[in-house]
Amino acid sequence: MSRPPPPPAPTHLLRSHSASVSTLWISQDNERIYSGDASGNVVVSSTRSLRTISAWNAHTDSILGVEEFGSSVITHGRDNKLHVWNRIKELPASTRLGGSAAVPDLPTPELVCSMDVNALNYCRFSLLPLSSGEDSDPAALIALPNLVDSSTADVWFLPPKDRIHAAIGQETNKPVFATQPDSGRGSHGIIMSLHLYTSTSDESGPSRSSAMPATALRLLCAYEDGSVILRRYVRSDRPTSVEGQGWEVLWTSKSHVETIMAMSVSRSNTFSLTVSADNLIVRYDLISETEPKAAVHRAKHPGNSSIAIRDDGRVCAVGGWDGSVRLYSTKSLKPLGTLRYHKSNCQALAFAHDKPTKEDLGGGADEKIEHEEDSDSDDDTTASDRAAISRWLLAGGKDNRVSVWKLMSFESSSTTMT
Amino acid sequence: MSNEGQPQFQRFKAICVPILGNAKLTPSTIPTVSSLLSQLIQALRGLDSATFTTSFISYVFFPLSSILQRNLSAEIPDQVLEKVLVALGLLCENWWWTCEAKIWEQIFMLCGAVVGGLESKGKERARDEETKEAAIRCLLALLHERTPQDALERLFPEDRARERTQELENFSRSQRFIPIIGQTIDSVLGTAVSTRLPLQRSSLDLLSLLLDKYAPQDLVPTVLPGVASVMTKACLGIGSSKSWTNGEIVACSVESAADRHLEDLEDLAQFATTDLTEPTPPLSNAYGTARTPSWLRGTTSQLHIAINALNPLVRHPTPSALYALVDFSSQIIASTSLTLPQTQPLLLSFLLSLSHSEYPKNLAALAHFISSQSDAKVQHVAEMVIAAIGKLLGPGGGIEKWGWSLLSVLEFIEPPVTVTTTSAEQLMLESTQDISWVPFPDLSLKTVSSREAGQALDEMLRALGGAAGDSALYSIEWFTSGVGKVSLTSEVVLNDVTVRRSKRAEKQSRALARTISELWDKSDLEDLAADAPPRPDGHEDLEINVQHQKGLVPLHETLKIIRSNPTKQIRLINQPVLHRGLCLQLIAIAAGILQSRFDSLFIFSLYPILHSIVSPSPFLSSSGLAALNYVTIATSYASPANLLLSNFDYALDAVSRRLTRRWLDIDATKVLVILVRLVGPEVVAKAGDVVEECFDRLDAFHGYGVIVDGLIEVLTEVLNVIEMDVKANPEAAPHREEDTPLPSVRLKDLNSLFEWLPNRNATPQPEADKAGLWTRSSSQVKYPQLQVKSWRLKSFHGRFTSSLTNHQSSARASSAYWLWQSPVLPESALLPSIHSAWPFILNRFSDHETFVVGAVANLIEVLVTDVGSFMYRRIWDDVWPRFQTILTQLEAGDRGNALARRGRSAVGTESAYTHSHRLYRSIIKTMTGVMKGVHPYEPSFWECLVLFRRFLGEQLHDELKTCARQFYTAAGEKNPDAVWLVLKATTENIGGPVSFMHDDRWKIEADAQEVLLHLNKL
Repeated sequence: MSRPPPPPAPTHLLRSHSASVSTLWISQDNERIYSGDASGNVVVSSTRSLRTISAWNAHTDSILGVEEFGSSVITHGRDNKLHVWNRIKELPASTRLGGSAAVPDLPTPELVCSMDVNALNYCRFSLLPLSSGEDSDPAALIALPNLVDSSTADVWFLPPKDRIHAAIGQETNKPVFATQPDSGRGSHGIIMSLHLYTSTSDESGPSRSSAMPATALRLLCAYEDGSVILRRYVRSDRPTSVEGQGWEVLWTSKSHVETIMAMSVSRSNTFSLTVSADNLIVRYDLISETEPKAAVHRAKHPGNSSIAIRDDGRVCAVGGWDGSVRLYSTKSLKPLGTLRYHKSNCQALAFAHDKPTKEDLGGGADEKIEHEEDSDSDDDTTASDRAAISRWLLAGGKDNRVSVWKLMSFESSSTTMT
Repeated sequence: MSNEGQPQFQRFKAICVPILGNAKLTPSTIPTVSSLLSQLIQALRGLDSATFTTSFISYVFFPLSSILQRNLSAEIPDQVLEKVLVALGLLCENWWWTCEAKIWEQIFMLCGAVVGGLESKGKERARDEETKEAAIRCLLALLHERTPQDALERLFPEDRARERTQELENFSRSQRFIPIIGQTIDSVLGTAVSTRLPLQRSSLDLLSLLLDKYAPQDLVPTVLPGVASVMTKACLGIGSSKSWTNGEIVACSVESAADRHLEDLEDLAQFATTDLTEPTPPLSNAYGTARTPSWLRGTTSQLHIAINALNPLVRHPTPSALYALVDFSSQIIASTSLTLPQTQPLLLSFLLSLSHSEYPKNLAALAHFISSQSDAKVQHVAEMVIAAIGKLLGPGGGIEKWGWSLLSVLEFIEPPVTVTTTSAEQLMLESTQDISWVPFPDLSLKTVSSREAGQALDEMLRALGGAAGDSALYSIEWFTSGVGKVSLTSEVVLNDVTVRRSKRAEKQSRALARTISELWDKSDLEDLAADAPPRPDGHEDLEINVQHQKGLVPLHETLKIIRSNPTKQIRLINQPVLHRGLCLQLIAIAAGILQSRFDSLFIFSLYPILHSIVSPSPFLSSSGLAALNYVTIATSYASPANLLLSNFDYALDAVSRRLTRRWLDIDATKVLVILVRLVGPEVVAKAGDVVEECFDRLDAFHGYGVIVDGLIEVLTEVLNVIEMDVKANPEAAPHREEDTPLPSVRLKDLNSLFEWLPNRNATPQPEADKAGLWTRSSSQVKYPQLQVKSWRLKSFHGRFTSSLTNHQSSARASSAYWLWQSPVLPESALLPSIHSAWPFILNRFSDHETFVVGAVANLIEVLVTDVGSFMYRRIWDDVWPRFQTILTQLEAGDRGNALARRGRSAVGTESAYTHSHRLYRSIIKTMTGVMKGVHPYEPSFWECLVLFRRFLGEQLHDELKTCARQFYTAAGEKNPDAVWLVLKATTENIGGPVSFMHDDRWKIEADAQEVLLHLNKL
């Protein structure tokens, strides 16, 4: 930091939670912040008004993940449930009455469907939307830890809730009730984080047809023992699999000495970063599918619990157990700055998205109207506002608060914070 | 000749006859004549007008005329001629009424010739200036207008003055006379640039008179250009050694210079008036110039140049000159809207730049001009002005000057006004609080000292805004941004804009409100930077606003102008205050424009408003309140409290932002206090957030006394509100699950036991129990609601306890106080935290600050009365031993205390303001509470009774005695026997095993008796 004190401070704080914030997500169009807390409450806040749009008790236990999925919201809780809710449409600003910090009865979204999942290992789901054009309902693949064996992963197809791939990563075919209970388990321990994506190098991408993605599917798993494994599905003839058959390990990399606490994959799926209880930040090249290319960076601070990569893939934020958020350049892992607000463990991080894309799944008809209206009335300010919002970093801490940081763009100089 | 005139006549005869005798001037007679003339002048001056009868005038005139007739003009020395002219002037003053036109003409011509230096033909030598001045004075006497009053004084009919004027004017307009007048004007123009001030002054007077009254209409155009150019020269002092710039050095010349300007400007003004208001009818005359359009063009351009040349006058040091310029400008603008279009902006800029002088009249003149304009030629002139404004404001240039001068005006005027405004605003503040909420207080007094002027200015801007329309939004922008510093005007603009509700305006105001709100951030930073230059008021805001004007080419110039302005250095301290006050108004205006769409801006604007309310400056705080009010109304909230409650998150967010090291603002805690106070009881629902924030900050700013104190204040405020809330809804208050106050199960004797045993079920106790159950169940019904509030309270309860160990003693005391307040909590929430905090609480008894100990003792007292059973062990195991220690220490301390009571039985100190007294009081009170609420633990109970005997001593401070009596009474209710025994055994030797207790050191008889009596009654 070229400038000594005063240190940066969060621009805003969201105090809508009464338990520690466990997960954060921001909608593609940067309009809504989703935050889940340890008591199972999910709060949707508007980025414009910083006020709650909707808040409900989605789960009876800590929320592992929230994500928008078309016009619905998927929540994943430690109560071994995965719920899909109808998203609450925010009324256009013109019809809204005066905003208030204390709206007595916020709408609660309606539960569409639920799945029983295994949430033993605190591992968040990974959603891979299959954009099947504008006509049909959105479909997606969702990766989750296996229902029985936490060291393996399942891939489900939504909305029908079909399990397509089961127990990916199962090493042996031993029955669960074997003489050695652990022998069926993977040697890497339970999955800590997973990410499902389709390889861009593969031509048969899943996006153009509603057919099952076959060989383009990749699954990146981070494990308890600190290793990261990239797998791909090889059986192009069979869209489904059981017991991990057909999934081939592309590479395995074990750089962490401790359990991986968080993994983040860049938006373009070109690299991923992991943090763990140790002081290492490891960068994995996902383009290389033949051998692991892991770059280990020794950070100064051990004990990191969350990581997020910005859309442009240049900057990442690492949340530590000390509550600080540290920003690094993803290329060199050079530290860019420290954001200190939370007193204890910063458990969730989310970057706002670069620029709202056109085919955002998020924007419903109502919102489009709202946008048009707004762009009529205050184009300039909103444009600048949005530019500002797109530089937001959200951090959720154990202190029940979500802090909003306005970062500089890091375009020109990358040493100071705004 | 009347009788009374006779002696007078004789006197004048004595003067006139010798003059006549010496009428033929020779070198030898000149001194005689000269002195005689002096005598004559003196005598004439001593006369009142009634004595100037025609015959008398003729009599006096005769010798004078004979002097003039009998001598060649070259032979008459200047000195004599001057005196003759003076005398003539005196005569003409009265002769005007009666003299023949012939004589009038003759004198006119004579004087004109003297002024023009024509009477001494052939000689190069012109008359000296004194003579010319005398001639001019004589002409003035001949020409100046007489009022009907003057006529009455001279016993003429009232309309004689008018008739006579008419007569002479008609005469002067005869073809024969016009050349004379022209010649005279020419001559007077010559003297008008004289360096002799009296001469110049009178020449200007005369010129004005001539042009105004006597010059025929068709002559005026001919002479106008010459007059104008000479006047300009005169104004600027070109070619004269005593120009106005150095004229001011001579004390007396200041006034005359000013007058001179006044006069010539008037000339010009009248000129323009008479001339140009009827420019079209072409008249042809032998001597006149036809008023053709081409002539008009030529003249106007010449005038324009002339007026342009007046530019330096703007910086004239004398106020009267500036007044004159103002009058001039306003007159010209008002009367020449058709003919001088290109001059209008110039004049307007004169006015505007002039208005930056600190003389209110300027503003008044400006305002007057504007208002008259909007009255008279509404449509036309408005367009005119708008065009001018547009020109001035257009990207072409001139904006900076214009805007800046207007701004600087207002700044200059502000300081003295603030003082007066303050009290008014203060009143406003009070009244608003008393009488519900009034609309936005009238703030129009802020910049202008006279209300009329302010209103006129108001009107002007309103007219401007109205006429400007959307196309001139640019200028509106300027008004809102630039003039925003002038509250009143912006409100005007508001009116317009709200009517039109143009989207651009909305956008603009949105941006405006935001940037202005951000000013608070900036200034805070600057305040912190100790070496930062004192922040000049409105410049920031101007800068920002300028930045908003997209496409404005001379942006950088503007900034430079603002920055380089030297007036920065003389800014007063209260300027930032004003600036902020006006910014607040701007915010309010933006709210007015955006109305309900302002909501999204609350996140930025609430803090400035609240921050201003807590400002020590009454002006700022009242504008803050007004702004809050206005915003409330504009955004259609029912009350400011509602507004704040609805946007509590924003306000809190803003405050907590200001409590970070980055944007630290010492006043942020005050803002929080005012926030809590304004929101009132409703804040309870939000209290958790506030308290949490406070404690976070307490941690962060550990050791920063100011902030810690501020935060403590906030917490206290929150608790006050909670307490009020609880008191207001007693049924919602947590109900103590009282342990049944079991009757004392002490066995007095077996008889009583036998009596009691069969009756124990018949005692009313069960009923009470039932009631207790009932209330308990009902309270449990209430619980869910309550818990919503209290679970948060509970969560911060723990933090109170942690701050018990804060190194700042006030914080420690406050935490004890908070805990003391905390019984509003339900038992289930309270007890665990008390339990965990207990060691800390106990440790506070050994605090070195008495008030901390006192606060903790209070806390214990409340606890024992509320949750007695819970406290049983704690009191007798922990607290009582500590009390004993404290008492011993105090006793020892009192011995060495100079304030302690002296005497055998003395306990405590004389004063109630000593530490020991307070501690005694706290301890006794706490123990009284213990007696009431806690089951007695026999050994300690007895110890306590014995130890506290001394507080009943008659020499004690009354307060302590009262406390002690209460203690014994309370104890007596638990165990009357023990109390009786202790008191009795002390006062009198009752023998037996307790005889050792007899002790008459303290003389407690009286109080002991009282206690026992009271116990007997029970």
